[in-house]
Amino acid sequence: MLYVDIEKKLSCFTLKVRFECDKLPLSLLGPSGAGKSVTLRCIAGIERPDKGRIVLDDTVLFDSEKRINLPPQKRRVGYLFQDYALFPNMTVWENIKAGMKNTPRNEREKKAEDLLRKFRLSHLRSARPATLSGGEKQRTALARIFASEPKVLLLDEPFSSLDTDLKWELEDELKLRFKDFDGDIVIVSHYIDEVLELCDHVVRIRDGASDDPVNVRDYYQTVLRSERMGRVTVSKKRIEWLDYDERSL
Amino acid sequence: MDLYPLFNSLRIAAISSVFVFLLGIAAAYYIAKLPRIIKGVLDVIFTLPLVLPPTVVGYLLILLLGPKRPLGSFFYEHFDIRLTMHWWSAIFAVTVVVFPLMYRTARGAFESFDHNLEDAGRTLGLSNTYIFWRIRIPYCKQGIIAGVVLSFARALGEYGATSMIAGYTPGKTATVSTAVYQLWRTGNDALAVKWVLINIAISAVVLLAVNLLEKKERRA
Repeated sequence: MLYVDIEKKLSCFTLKVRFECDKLPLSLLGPSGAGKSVTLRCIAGIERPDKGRIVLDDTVLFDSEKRINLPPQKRRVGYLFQDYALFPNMTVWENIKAGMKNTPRNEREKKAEDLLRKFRLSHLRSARPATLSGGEKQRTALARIFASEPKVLLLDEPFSSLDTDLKWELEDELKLRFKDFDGDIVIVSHYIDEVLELCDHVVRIRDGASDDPVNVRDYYQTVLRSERMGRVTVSKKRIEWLDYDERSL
Repeated sequence: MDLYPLFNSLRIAAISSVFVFLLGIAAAYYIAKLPRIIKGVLDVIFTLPLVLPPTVVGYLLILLLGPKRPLGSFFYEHFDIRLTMHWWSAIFAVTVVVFPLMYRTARGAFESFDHNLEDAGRTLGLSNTYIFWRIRIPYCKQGIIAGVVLSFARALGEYGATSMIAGYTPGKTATVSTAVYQLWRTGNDALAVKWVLINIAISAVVLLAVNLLEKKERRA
């Protein structure tokens, strides 16, 4: 379980975010610059909130009152960066193995092999990140994250820089990985359509403050429909989802 | 022709380059983490030897290392070592004069570093030492190598501070640059020209190496 209640002063406003997430994927939703990524970076320990508390399972990651602030290395978070942040001087194989600090030395080879196979990267093991396609980079980044055995997955705008085909591909990939991941998942997005099928709950961040978590379907039907009536973007999956929804109503 | 000055110059330049490499990247790395005011002050201090005349640097070093000065007298009294007028005394001079070159090149290279890589490494549980040597330095490799080569070239040619702190003793503290001056001063033009040509040849090779590295970097 992940519990977050933090405050951080940013240049234009003070960010106040509060949510809880228990195994079911949760999405932080809001316009660019609303503080979603900062929240994620605070959870990962890359940035430090001004005050508050972050707890993951039984571990206090951050507590301003008790002066606890674990370094990112000890937080066991899997952070998927927008640009994947693959180490350019290492091959796919080395990238994956670099993340294995939590695995006993003699099991690393085998585990890396398994991950290569699982993420369909076996043929690219000695390729450098610069030569990979967008989809391959993503899969390498995900494989590397899973190699580090994280307790929580933090995905920062995973779909933002992808064209439509790749979006569906990643969505399927993520759905598959989420299924056998036993931990919390937080996805940052500014676009509800992207997380519709991946998340159970949505926390909306606007003007620096977070709303209470809402079920993603409720959110979609009430908030979004009333606000964005008529602005329907056409995407195959979304229309299917819409059809399904209306039939069940 | 006694090749001692060449040998001496090369070893002084090589050893100083190692020091300058370590000190330069350390300074460039840590200064980025400091508050802005301290950063500004330190940046000026670190870059100062680049614009100061080497004789001024030499003078300041003598104020510190001379036999009757704080550091110099300490070593003389406790270890019976005189810090000036040895061949290795030139290393102090050369290191200080060349340091800004390495520091500034390394800082420029580090500025281009993608900080997401560092953050990614940290969330993956990698130690800061590992991230520094295995991710940051390889990423900035070209710039750092260029800095080292440039430092080495400048170290080979250092004259002002070296002559003040190590002097010129043939076969002991003579370097190529001090030899050229002494040979010219004593009217031995034939030998002076030889050393001048050797010096030009070495510097040209080094600069060629820098250019090749930069071209390679642009391609990468």
